[in-house]
Amino acid sequence: MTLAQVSVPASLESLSAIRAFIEEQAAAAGLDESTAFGLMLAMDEAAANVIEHGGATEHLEVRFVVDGGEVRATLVDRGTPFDPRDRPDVDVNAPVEERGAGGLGWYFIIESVHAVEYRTDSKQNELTLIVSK
Amino acid sequence: MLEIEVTNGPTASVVGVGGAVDAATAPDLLTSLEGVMGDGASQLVVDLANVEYMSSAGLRTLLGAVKQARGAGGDLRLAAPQASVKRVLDMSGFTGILKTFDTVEDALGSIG
Repeated sequence: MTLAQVSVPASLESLSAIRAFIEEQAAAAGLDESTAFGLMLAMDEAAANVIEHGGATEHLEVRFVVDGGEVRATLVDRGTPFDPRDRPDVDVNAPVEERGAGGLGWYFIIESVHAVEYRTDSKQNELTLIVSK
Repeated sequence: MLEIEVTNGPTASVVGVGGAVDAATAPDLLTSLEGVMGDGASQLVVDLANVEYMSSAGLRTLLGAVKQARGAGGDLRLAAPQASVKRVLDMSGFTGILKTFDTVEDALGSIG
């Protein structure tokens, strides 16, 4: 099992660094391009959410764990918890007049990785994105 | 930071974008698109040839802009999206609501 971690300020300016970290770790783990992109997109969306909607402050941690054939990328934040099961629905087939602004980030997260886990306690929230190699 | 270059032509205004359009940089794109429409243009072509990445923040910006352009009697077309941007356009269903072309020339040629 290998683990890499990065800590970044909880600001939107950190998104590019988060994407670069995921891209680098995904390549080192031997993920194919499509899976790596999906993981990077999902983590970017997740980080943007906790910063913009969760009021995350101070720092975010991003952990990348490779355990056999499974890759688990975890975002740790200290903002308001948000259970992925409460995400708004998105109808990607709706015509433009009916398309709203909300929910697309979560839609990308769920559609881009193989599984998502969420846990929260009084100190921090952890969203784990899981893909198979 | 995004690189944005606007070319106002007789058929449409072409907004060339360069860089990664994420939640941090999408506001730059919004400002630019609103500025072009505020100057009176309602036919826009967004040239994505140099956009290496776009997240939902970029898509939300495009959604708002296309609604505004169509409300003004015009439209917003996309040109030359890279593979990664095409992927998010497809996933989100945006290829069904925004006309997308391989080149700026093709996009301009489709404006009747």
